[in-house]
Amino acid sequence: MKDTSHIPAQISLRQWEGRYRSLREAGLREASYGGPLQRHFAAGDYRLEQLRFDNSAAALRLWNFLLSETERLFAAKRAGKKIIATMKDLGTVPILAYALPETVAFYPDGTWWIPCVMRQSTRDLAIADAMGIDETFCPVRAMLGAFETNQHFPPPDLLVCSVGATCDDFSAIAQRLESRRHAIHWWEIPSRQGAREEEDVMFVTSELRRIAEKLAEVTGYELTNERLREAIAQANKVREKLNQLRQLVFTAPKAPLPALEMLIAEMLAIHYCSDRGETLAVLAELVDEVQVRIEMGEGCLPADAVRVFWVNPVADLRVMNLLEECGGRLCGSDFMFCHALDAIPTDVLPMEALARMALADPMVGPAGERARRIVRDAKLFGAQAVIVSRIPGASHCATEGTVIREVVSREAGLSVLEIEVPPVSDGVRAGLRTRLEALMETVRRKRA
Amino acid sequence: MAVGTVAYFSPFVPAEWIAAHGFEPWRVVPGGAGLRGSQARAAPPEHGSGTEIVPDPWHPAAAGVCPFAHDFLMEVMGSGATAVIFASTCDQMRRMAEFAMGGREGRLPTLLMHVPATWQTAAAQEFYAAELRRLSRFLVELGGEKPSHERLVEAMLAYDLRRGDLSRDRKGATGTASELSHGRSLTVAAQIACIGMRVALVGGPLRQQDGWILQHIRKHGGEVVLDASETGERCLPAVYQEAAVREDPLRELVRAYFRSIPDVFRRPDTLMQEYLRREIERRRVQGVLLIRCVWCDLWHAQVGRLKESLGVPMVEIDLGQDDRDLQRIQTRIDALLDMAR
Repeated sequence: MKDTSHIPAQISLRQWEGRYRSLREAGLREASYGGPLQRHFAAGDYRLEQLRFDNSAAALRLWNFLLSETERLFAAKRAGKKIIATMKDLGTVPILAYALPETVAFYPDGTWWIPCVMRQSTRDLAIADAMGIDETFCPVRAMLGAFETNQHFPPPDLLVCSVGATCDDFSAIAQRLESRRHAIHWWEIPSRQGAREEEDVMFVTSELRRIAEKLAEVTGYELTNERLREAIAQANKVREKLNQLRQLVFTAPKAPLPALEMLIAEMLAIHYCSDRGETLAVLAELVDEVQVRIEMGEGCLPADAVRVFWVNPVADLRVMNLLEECGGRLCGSDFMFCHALDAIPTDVLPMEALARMALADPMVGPAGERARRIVRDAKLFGAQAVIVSRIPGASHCATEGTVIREVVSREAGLSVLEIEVPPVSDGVRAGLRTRLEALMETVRRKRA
Repeated sequence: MAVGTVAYFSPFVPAEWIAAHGFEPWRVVPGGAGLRGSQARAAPPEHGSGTEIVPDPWHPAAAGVCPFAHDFLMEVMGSGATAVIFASTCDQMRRMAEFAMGGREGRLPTLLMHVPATWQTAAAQEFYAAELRRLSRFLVELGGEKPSHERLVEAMLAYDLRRGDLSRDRKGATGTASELSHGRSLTVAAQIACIGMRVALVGGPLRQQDGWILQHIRKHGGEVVLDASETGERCLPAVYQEAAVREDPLRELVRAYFRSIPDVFRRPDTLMQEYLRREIERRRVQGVLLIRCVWCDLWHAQVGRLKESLGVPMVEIDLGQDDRDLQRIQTRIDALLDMAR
């Protein structure tokens, strides 16, 4: 029988059992968090059973890295490290935290995937419901439950949350959290307006200095310019590697890595999944794998798959699989943190550089600006359609889709589809499939 | 003679600052349409083009758009106002500003004023002051005149006096911030000594067509003794200290508005929590009606917390655009009155 194990493919959790054995037999060497994916399912990550995964060792490492973050955080706590919970800013405060020795940062926001990954087997959403934060809010409300149960991360030594030009639902949920005796260090990110640019930079720089002072108080380490420069250099290495991966995957004739793995890989850039060094290694292995596949002319999807630019992260990971089942592939993304992918300037003082980065957040400026970046990147990656994935209950989703649709249609002539994805989308899957298939069909007709 | 009319809604936009630049400040409380749409609208600009409402580009209820923010934009865009000021105090209003600036509704000179959610630092206070100065430059570009020290002091004291007079006339009862700002009666807020069930309105803004809620409360044996809605007394600025006004009017504006108004978007929200606890106790409130617009996360998230902390019965109503909500809201108000009894 012909050995096809090296051919890129998407396989199920069950198929990974055999694949894992083969890789081990072939001499697979794993990181400390390695192992078969099934163990995560056994531990309660039940959604894995419905997902389809890339079959490479690099993807295995990526998934194991992601799904072991809870263990990593508890281990860090036991080792006496300071745990910093950073909320909402997506990419800025972790750089400050990781500049300090013995300090680990993570995003409680990330618990918004728990209802999906654990197929709502946890009490997190029920706890949020009991606090009056019901399903009309963004799924990030799951973090209220997570803070009550302490099952997904240890009690942090400091909570930092950005407010100002942020979604109302996040600000409201974080305030509800504070009312439960979780003290929060609030910092302000103003709405971005060109006319006020330099004043905003100065203001945000001063806000970040306030955070640095608080971090010094909690960790006992001063955040010097030298430490921050080094942290920025490390962040830029991660961003460079991620951008290399994006460039390779989004422009390859055949998709060398599926959409789901790309979504997870991009998420690493905002807080390194609680291990900065390992993040770089995981991304490097993915880049190596993708380069080999491109050189071999191999991909995990047909060459005629419709090239789709995706806007906003999905609460249900399974929908990224669905995109591909319907004939699409990912060719560009704006998962709400493009600013965390751009290189941080190194020709200005480090705190100012971070302030400029924070102000580049697509969510703090007008949706029109965000749309124009989407147009630019969609053209760069040759996208043929744009999907705006609404986050249920998120205040920004009420109007941004309208703006993005208008700008993308006018300036790029691309078809735009707006969908809404709940944490577990099984109930609306048939409808989503129909709409995605219709989009693919539309693009194919245009192409023909 | 005013050089134009400047529309706004946020209580953090000082009417006297606009007036001192030679404009008529117009705090827009949308009139809306539908069942109660024929009721009186907010004070229209005298020289505006009337009450024409531009075509509605969305279906707000389906799209998750805040009906108040939506109606505000629609009303302003069709009003003939010279300019409009939005404040970033909620995400929906912030995003509406983008439509006013260049969306398909056409362009209207628009300023999005960032009011910091954080308020305890000197930097946040200075940011607000800087935004007032930016508003000043915006008004000057539109033909206004940068006010002299004397003119600003005069405008501030005049507005302070007018607000004080109206509050005294009401014997400590309620009125909307709009009427207190402009000396016009816009709602049927309580004006007499309370004889019924003592109710507090807490929450976001009421539109013109929501005035029936106050009538319904009174008709069913209640009396609003505290209007802590966003169109109510909660969002009035602090009383000015005349000496401080004369010494440094801008600093006093910052104190009276930014440092004093207890609102739901502020982080932490301790000013508002303290205000509600204090006033509910002082006015011997027996029941709280929490009013919020559909899709308002900021107020929605307060429901559970206020139920825990206020110690009086509370009922939440959400105001949408659908007239079919009427019966549901009436039932909930009746339930509150029953509970409070």
